[in-house]
Amino acid sequence: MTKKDQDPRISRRKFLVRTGAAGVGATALTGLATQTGNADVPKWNRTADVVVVGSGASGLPAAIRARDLGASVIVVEENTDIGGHGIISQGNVSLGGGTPMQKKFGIEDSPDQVYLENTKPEHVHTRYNDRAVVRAFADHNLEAYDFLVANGVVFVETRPIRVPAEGPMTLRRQTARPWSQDLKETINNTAGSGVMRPLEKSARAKGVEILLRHRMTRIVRQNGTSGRVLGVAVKNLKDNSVVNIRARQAVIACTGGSSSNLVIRTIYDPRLTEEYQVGCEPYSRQSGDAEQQGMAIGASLGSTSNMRTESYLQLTKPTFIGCRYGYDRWKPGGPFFEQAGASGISVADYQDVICVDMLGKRFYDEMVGTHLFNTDGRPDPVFVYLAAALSSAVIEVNRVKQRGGGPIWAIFDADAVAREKWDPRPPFVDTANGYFFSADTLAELARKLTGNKYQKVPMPPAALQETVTKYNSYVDTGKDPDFNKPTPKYKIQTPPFYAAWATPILHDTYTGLRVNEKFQVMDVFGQVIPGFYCAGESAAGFALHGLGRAIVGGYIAATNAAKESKQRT
Amino acid sequence: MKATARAHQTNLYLSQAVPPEIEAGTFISIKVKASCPRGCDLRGTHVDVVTADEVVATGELVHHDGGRNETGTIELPVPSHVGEHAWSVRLARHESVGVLHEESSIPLAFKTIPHTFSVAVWDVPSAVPIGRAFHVKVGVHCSSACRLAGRLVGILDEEGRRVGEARLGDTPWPGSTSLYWAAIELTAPETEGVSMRSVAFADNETEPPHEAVPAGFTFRVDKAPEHSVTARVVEQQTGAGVPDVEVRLGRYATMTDEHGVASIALPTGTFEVTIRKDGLQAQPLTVAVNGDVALDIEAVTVPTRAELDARIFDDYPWG
Repeated sequence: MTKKDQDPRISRRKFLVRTGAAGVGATALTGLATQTGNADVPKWNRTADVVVVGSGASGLPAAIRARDLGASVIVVEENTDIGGHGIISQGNVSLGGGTPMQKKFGIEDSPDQVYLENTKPEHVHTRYNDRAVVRAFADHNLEAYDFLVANGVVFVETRPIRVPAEGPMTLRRQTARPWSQDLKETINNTAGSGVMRPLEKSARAKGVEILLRHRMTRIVRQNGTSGRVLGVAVKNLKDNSVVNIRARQAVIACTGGSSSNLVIRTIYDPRLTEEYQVGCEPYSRQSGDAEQQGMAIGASLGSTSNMRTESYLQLTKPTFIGCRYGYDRWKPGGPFFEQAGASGISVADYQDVICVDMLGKRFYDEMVGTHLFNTDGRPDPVFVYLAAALSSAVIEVNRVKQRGGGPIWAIFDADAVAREKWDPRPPFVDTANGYFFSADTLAELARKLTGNKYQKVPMPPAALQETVTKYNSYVDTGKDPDFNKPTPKYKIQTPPFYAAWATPILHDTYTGLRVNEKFQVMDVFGQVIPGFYCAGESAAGFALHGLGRAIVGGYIAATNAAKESKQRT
Repeated sequence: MKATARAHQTNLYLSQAVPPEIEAGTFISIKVKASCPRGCDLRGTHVDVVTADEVVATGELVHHDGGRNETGTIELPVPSHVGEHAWSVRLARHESVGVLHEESSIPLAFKTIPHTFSVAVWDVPSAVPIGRAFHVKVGVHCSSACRLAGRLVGILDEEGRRVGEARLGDTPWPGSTSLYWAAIELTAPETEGVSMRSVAFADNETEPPHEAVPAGFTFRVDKAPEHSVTARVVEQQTGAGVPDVEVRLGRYATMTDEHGVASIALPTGTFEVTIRKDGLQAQPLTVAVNGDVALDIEAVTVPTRAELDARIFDDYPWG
């Protein structure tokens, strides 16, 4: 690293010398919070009234809204293209309160109803939602819907629906019309393009400047951890140059959650170790940038229990196995297919496979579905499967015993391939990167799994052999005394044998920086951090799945940010 | 140019570390890098891989990047006995580009380990009538893909008695890399229930030595089938018979023919009847079998898996 590239932040050593009183035992966060008198403001390269970090389902609405209210706006986006999770999504936008589409299909709704349904004390989704944040959300649903339409989003004329992941709500889910069939534009040919591309087009037409391949590396606060937020330090990923952007009114962080950030996600849940991929990767990462840089200037996290993995849509079985990124079916020919590695194969009947942990042992009934919620809002048994997957293996690495998840492998035989009509070859499965293996015997299969980088210890060949022999005997008896898989039907016996990556996938973060009803970020003392807003998956307080919350959050944050007085210095 | 009085020291490196354990009688590939402090071009010089008393392999330095020189891939035959081996890689004292270069050597230590046999047993019938003969297929694979044709493989019962054996065939099982296999005839016990058998395949006389991963299998012994069940699967809307449907009665399963008809022989008992075919669904039903039975199974057409995959995110619960 050259001197020029170094993070301009004060070093830990300098910090201790200057503050003295912070004490050696103080945590970084507490220490920083007590720091005083250090401006550490860089030389600015660019200036805008509002700087938005991230160009996803919160970022672009925030940028357009701020621009509509007269602010000059720069959007910083680390990816090669806009859209974040939003463009990979299926373009379903849950907005209610009585939208034109709801009215067209005779669905009665009101802002109060939106509020009440999202604060139900009985339901697992809604019981702890921040009432003030939800009230603001409810009161801006209609405006946000109109805003989307005014900025080019076209909704398909079908009756709005609801999905269990969004709770027991009035029918609000409306789907955008896909932007095109071109994989270069849609990325993976999904209707999320019908939300994000029109917003991009509108933002650019209105004069929003979007800096692609630019990553926010620091949020600059007046006195380090006190005073206003003044702007952001950004790294141009194309040439590694530093671009410091001053924000005269506000910085709005819309970085999409932290599920891809190992440091942040293990704050919430120590079981979320490195092996878990995140939905929408490898296109879009939930980078945790807002959370990390926000905490560095004294911001607080909020509602951290929302990231626990047994009640919401944070973690699921993979929809497609035999590939690393098994949430979406990545389409060959798309701009990110090479990074995705394979499109994966879906399991029609989990009678065809057993799932084993990294030590070759089963851990739960494979038949549990991906249906996450019972209609009454109680979690489904799949959560118990997932909890077992996250902590089933005890391994010893460098003489230290560890308990954790590790890879989960779906094990099956040639008969299962025939029944499922799978084609166990690339591009359907990822053999090149170690997410799919085949072998003449089960013992040989176990030996090969070290070809996967997350298989930290070899799977004992005899253990997998024994697991399958035992499982096959359950087919003979028709009963699974270990995990009560209902009437095991098929033996795993005919060579060749296969192991497909079936490790659970992380999804929504549902928490992040604590915000108030204006989506201003709060500090660790419960005070507003002036000039700093956060919306979408990086904002805490409201665990509603989907694009609706992200869009409305960005819209409200920008509405308030654009009202801030413009700082002169 | 004349050789100068002062010779250059030389250094050797392995381009990649050798695995600490290597299966006996196989090969490993190495590349060796050589350099001197002046970065001389040593191309054309040979490096030797040597044991205590002989040269095992030789490689020529063929690449020079301005600093280091590197050989091409050198294939090393690994001893076929098990044990520790302390070899070395040696660059002899020699003259390159008119300069004398000193000898150097580095150790090449590894351990040879036995190969591993592992076994698969398949085509085990879902239920075998009491006392009847039946066949299973048994395949044996060597971790180093040794040819195992003609070797004897045996089956032992729960008391360790040899109850069947055969010699492995000449060609590996289709779709496998080196699974040599044989069909073995066995006889079901005289009692109902689940029986266990183990596979015996150890050959201590061969070089290199092999270890075996223990393997066994179970099978279900039932009363002899006395009744015939004929099931016809029809599509509810069209009334047409549906071919290639798996019809399952308890642990007994078969496929429908081109007319949608499946026949199966069953012992007396009560069975749950289920079907399986992509894009087809039927309510499970229970049937008591104490004589010949003819069944009509009404099935409805549902979306195929490909159709469900295409709209998996539209319906539930994502996006």
